[in-house]
Amino acid sequence: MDEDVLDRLVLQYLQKRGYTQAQQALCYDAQNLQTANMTLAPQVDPEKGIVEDLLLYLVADNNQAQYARSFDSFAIWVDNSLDLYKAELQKLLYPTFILCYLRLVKHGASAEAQQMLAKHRARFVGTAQRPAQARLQELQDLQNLSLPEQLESNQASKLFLILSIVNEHLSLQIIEGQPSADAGDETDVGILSGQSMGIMSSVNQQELQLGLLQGNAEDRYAAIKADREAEAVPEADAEGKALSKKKRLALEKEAEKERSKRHKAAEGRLEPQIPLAPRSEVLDTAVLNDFENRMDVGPQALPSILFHTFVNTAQSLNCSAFAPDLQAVAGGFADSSVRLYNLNNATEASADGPEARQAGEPFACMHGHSASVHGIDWMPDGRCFLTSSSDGTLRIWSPELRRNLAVYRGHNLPVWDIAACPAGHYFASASNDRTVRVWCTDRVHAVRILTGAFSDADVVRWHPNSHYVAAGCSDRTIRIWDIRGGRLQRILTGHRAPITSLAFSPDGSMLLSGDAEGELMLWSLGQAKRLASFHDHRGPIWTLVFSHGLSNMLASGSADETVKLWSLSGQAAAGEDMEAALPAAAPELQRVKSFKTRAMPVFSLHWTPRNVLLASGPMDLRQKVLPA
Amino acid sequence: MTILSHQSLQAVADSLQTTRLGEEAARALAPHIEVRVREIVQEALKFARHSKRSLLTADDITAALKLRNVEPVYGAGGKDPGRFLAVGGHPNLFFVPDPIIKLSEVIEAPLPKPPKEIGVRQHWLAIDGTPPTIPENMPLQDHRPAKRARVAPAAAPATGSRANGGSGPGPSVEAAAAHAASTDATPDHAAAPPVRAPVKHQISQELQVYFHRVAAVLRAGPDPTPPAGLPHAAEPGAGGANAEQEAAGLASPRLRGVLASLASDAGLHPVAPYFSQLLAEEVAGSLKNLPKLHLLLEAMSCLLRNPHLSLEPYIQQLMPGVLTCIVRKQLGPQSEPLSPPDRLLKSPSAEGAGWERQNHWSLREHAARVNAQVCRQFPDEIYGIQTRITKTFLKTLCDPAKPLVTQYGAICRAALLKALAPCLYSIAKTGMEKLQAAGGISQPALKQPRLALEKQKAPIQSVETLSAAELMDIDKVPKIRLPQTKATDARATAPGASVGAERPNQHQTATGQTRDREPGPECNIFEDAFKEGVDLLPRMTFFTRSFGDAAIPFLAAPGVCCLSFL
Repeated sequence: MDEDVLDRLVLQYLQKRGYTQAQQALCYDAQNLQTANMTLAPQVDPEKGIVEDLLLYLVADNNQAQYARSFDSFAIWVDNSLDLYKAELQKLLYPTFILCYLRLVKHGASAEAQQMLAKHRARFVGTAQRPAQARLQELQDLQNLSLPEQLESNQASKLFLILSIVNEHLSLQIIEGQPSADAGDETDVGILSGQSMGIMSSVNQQELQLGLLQGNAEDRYAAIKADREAEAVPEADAEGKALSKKKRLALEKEAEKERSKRHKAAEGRLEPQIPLAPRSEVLDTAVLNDFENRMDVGPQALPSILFHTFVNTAQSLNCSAFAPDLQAVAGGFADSSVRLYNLNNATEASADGPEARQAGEPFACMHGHSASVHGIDWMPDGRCFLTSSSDGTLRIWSPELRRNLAVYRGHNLPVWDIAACPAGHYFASASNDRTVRVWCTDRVHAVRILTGAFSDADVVRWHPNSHYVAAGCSDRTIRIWDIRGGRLQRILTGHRAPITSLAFSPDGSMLLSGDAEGELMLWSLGQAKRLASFHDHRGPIWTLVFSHGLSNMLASGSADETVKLWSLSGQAAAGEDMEAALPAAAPELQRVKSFKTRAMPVFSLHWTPRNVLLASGPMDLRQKVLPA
Repeated sequence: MTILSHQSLQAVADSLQTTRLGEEAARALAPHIEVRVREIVQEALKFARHSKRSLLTADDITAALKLRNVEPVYGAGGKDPGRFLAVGGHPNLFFVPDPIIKLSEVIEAPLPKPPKEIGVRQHWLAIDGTPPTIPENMPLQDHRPAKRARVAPAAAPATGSRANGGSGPGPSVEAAAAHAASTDATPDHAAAPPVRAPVKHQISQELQVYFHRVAAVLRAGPDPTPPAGLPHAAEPGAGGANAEQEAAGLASPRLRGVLASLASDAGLHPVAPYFSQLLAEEVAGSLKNLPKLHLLLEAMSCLLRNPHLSLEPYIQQLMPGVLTCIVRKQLGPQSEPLSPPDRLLKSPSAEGAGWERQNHWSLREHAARVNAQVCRQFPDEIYGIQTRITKTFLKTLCDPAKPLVTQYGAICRAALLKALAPCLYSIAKTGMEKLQAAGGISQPALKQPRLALEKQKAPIQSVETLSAAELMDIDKVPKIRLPQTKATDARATAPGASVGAERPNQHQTATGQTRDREPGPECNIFEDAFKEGVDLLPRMTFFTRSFGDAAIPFLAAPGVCCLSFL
């Protein structure tokens, strides 16, 4: 390329745009310096991008190899830099590489682009173990792009292009101080999600009201228990001797303190801000009475696990859910049927013998959907359950009538997951059309359409106070919406694979998520940051559930045919300001135990009100299904 | 650049009656189509994930096509995935065979069996955090036995008919099926009793009969009247084993059949533990019956030789018996004299088999051979058998209180394991001296008179010639040669006087050498040998028959020079 021609063109461009100073500077530089001195600007100038584009159009004609060459020299420079800074500099390489690649493709130099990819592939794929898989996928996606026209339609490239538009390549912030300690850990986390950091941080700074609802069952139970204890303040001690006045006063004081503490906690409770269905008295008293029988589980007192195996499924079981009253388990199948199995009869079957053998058979096999059923959940009162299907509809069923009660249409594309609101009446669905919708049982249309995800919403869960809905998406983000205003409130990035399961902690301050590669992450909702991550499972984590009561036991079930138990201690700070006020123990997640099933992947888990863990999954004899 | 070749595209175009697609156009089209295909597969993977499967099915692809409003490929779904066949001459071109089916056949075919109704079975995965031991759960502690058990029945049916010749192959297949049912236990029977020892289910009727017959033969021992001179036809399978058996006097055709079967049959794995137990018990119980001991040792050797059998888990059970046969003081009937092996003085061929069988010396040699076989078969690095055994023998040899016969056995064993117990040679020599002193083996009786004479007349010269010969093989010859020669020199000039001066030097070089070459248990043994204060400069003594070639280096220079064989 002739230098003069280039200079002249730039000059023409500057004249056209009226950049007189730049024009002068160019003339000056062109006279004085033959080689341009490159400097790194602290902030990228959007205009510069345009100029670069212009230059590139000129350069691209016959000098595409320049890109690859300059990237090579950049990589060498990074490799030879001081060890102290190397880790941070290396983080730059990958995005730069992607941008170079896309540029080359855009300008029709796909051969060079492929060459460059082949040359540097090992560097990006070979470094770490975990991000490497995600990268491998990305690079494979990129490799498919070899024609400029494909850029327009490809999802992967769209993500990158958005990125490049939003912050014109890279926004480098030069920070004085020590290089960051955790070098390899957060590599490319958040960068490749397609979300600009600016938008994310502004979204994540919004305040959340994470308190539990007023008058929830746990609080009421605690109140009843405390009252009972207060009444039972002993008049006499163990020896039957009358207590001294002093002692009694101390006891009463203690009780008083307890009460005030509880009041304070109750003050933190929320007024419901959405209309909620009235609670059913009968159900309430039943629930409250059962609290007495609850076993507290923890690392010292491990729970019992009752596994329910779906046999003869031939890989057609897609999802399953236990009824809250533990009378039945419902399964959604690939043949579009929904089947109910009576749990109590099944238990008797093993004891009673032949005449009860019918119990293993479905007591209701219901048809309604026209495609495979992917999501299933019970309403909290146990009177109905909901299903979602890849025919794009949601249905509500009554086990009592053994028939479909209503159809909810709105999604046009497959609906992957459905979740009932813990307060009843509402439910949410996550779909392939990249939306999450919130529905009322008494309306045929969605009451909220929650958007923002770049890819499918895979899994959806309700916050315990019913005010928020969290969805795990295929773009590897977790998004949390306020259903009152329908606003996006949190974007949590960090997963390296599509999210497959979510669970809110019972106190509402934390969120757990599992992904398709078996990684488990714990998030603080108030601070919108990751607290811990574990990579224990060897397959997608299909289900995550928290136990009831004070002990926060967590169970995770995975395709690697294990159920793992975790214990969560401590409480996340509600927000930045609350952190100082509440010096609570930092939340800590620990693996307690792992149980391996015999060739049964775990599809769903459910803690009974008494803290027995129910698990279900199909019998998966892969050797019969998989080709050798 | 793309996975789809332009030939494939042209073929597809042809099948759609688009005949005008040129190669150039196909090349241009290929990347576009590949991108679309990949997008569809990506979409299909989502369906697979939401069906909680790891396997992508044709139905997923159909669903993904529908999602994109593309007409799905008809006839590709279902349980029978299309089999792609390569087109001859085109390496990257495939097609799905589409045979013509007669409609009448389809109509007349009987209805397929209805699929089983999907059901739910319950079992406890854990009770208070502990998995109960029920068939539905994974076995808790050791997964190994389960794996082993799974391998065993697969081999059983293959051998069934051959091993016994009696009953047909039926029962063993049944056993395998029963076993398969027990391993793949579906949780149908929630109240089933806890798992019993898997071994009981495994042995087929047939193998049991086989085992009992073989056990009866082994228990009975060889026939009292040995058909010594009987010329028997060479068996094709037995090969080298024949010589051994003859030597052991096991010439009866029945016994030979049993031994050949033990050495070559493929399905003996399930009964291997029983055999090992039987052999161990029988050896312990019949220490006075030499022919029977010979037979048992031969059986053991046959089992070890069997290529389809791994005796690894049972070696610990077998070894004590073998060791007993090597070092036990009293073997055979009481009348057997505790004299040195007189037969060394005679040619073995002149002796009858009866003599062989009644001689406990030969039994010791036989046992030593079996022992050496074990050590060769199970490398020391992994199993550590060698080290342990070598230590035992070392102790035996170093202990002057041990009876002569015991030491003879140990020496035989040491000689057979020339490569691994070099130090034993030196010690063995002291033992041999004793033998000589006790029985007075005379020089002319030696099997290698030439060597012996050389040694006798000009020891130093002989050492030099030998080392020259071995120097050819550079790998084998360590630098240690020099000090040794010196040592011999010293010995020759001033016997006994310079011993103290030479030893430390030798010691250093020798141990250093050993470390360099093979850092292992031998080093320790070696040092032990020195520590025991064994006299390293014994007179030249000579070994006989059974030592053969192994004795050469050891004849050449005493003691540590055997290292050259390391």
